[in-house]
Amino acid sequence: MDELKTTDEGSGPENGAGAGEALGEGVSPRDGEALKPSSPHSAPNDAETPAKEDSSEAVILAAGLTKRYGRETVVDNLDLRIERGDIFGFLGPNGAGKTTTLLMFLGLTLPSAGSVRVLGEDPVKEPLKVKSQVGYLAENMGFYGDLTAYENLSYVCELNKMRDYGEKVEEVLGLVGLSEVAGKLVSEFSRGMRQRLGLAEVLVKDPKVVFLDEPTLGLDPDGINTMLELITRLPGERGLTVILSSHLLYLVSKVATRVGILKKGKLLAQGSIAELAGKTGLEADLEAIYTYYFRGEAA
Amino acid sequence: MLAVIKKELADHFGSTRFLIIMSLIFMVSFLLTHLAGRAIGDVLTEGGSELLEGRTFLLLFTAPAAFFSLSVFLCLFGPLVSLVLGFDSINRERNQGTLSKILSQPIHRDEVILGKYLAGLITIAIMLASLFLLITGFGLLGVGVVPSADELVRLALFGLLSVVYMGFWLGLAILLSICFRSVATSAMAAAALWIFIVFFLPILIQAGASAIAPFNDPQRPQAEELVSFTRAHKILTLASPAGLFTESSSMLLDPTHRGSDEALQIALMSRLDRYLLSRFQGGISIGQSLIIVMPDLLILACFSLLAFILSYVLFIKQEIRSV
Repeated sequence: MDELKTTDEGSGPENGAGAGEALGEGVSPRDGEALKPSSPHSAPNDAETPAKEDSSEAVILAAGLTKRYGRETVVDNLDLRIERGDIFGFLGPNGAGKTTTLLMFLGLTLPSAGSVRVLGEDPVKEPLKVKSQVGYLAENMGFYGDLTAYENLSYVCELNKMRDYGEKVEEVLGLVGLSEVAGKLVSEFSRGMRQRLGLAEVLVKDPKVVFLDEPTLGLDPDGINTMLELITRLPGERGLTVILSSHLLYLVSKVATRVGILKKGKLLAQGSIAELAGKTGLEADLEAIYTYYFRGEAA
Repeated sequence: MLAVIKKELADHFGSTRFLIIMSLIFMVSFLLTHLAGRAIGDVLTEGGSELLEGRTFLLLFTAPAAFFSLSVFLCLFGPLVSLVLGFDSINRERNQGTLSKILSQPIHRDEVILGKYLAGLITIAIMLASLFLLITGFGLLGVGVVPSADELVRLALFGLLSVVYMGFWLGLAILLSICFRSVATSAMAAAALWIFIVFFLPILIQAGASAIAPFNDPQRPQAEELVSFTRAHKILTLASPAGLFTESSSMLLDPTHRGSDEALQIALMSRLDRYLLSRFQGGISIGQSLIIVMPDLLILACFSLLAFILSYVLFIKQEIRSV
């Protein structure tokens, strides 16, 4: 909680409009049991219960998703539904389980319990089908420094078994504003350029969903604005669904149509900012809503 | 997987450290071949061509030059090439954040490890093939030795044996790169294992054989004691990849070499028997050499497979974690 950074930026009511549907409370997705409070605090658990709902428009549908490492539970009984075209902001402090959840969505980490469907596919049983439609920008995305930007992208294309990818590579390099430096070694890139190259690597395979894990990490204000602008354009221009994991509330509130609040692996709430404001009786201010759920007390 | 192999091959042949170790291997090999070539030239000049009949060309690989023969050099220092190729293959990708990127693409996890292993083997095979071809050329030009078909087949089999042997070290290096997150630690572990297996294990085997089958008087060993010792030594050598390689390469490259068992039988023969044998028995055929060498070769292949399978299983079981 202490690691959470907030600002007043972008917390206006215009960010509250979302594509999320009404929250259904209190029914477990799998066995119909009443949901127990997920936090020792008195805050209500408004996490949706999606598993039995119509999944036709659901890009991601998780039910009881749990991940344990030994005795430690990193993700705890997560129920989540993300709709097509959403920019879903996954909120929580460092160590809340955001990255682990994304890795389970990709099939890179196996769930200890529960299930998840990504674009209708089970990432545990059909990881290749999922990974061919999902782009993932990891928190500490690595690159081959001895290769140029163009060569790094070409390698991703080859791993995706794409043919005649030259034009595609040039297109995404243009989209992220790196056309001029396509032939430059990545080891000479700044942090911001690397992040944009990471986004290009995510987009080059024409995914349907993108997972962006702390995409603005280490960027200067200009870099952050450029990245956010790019992210905002993705659903409209490329028909993508974006899952944006971050602990920076003001960034998420700028771009997200819906948010999910995660604490110690438990999903405390999910919905549009307006919906969550309605439930909590607060203004459509993500910071206040977050504080309400996270601390278990009215802000 | 082809994409991974292509990328790895480009990395290997563009890697400074690989080029350095390869240059070193090539330089020493040429030096040893040159010295061996001079020695062969001397024998030929002195009219000893009968002595070398049928194995003149292969002597370039087996004749002990200043310190050791080329085949022994490959046994001792060839593993360094494999270790350089593999010791950071996985942990480097993990540390620089490219492993999760590769694995988030639509490829199976085993394609990554298999691609890296195969690319390493191809690199080793290309390096050895180039080395052997250059030495062949040197033999033709420098010493005037034209290899016979039999010798070329034996050399090809030795090349295959070398790839299998160095494949063991490659598997071991990749295994270390999976076990240790730090590149420096896996490099140190690789160096330690190399020193132990190549230099200390033969000493331990010698000591073990002496303990199992001791000599009452080491200065004058009895025939039965010698037999017991040799057998114990041979059995213990089965646990040493370097020992297996040495034994197999001697057998393949030297048609007159008959392995420890037969050598022992000859040693135990009477003087007359030995004389008769030397008069009527020449070098053995490739088929016979292969039959003799096959058990050692299979065990060596098992070592290589085991090292790779361990890497494979460990890599498949490792999860990508957020921290």
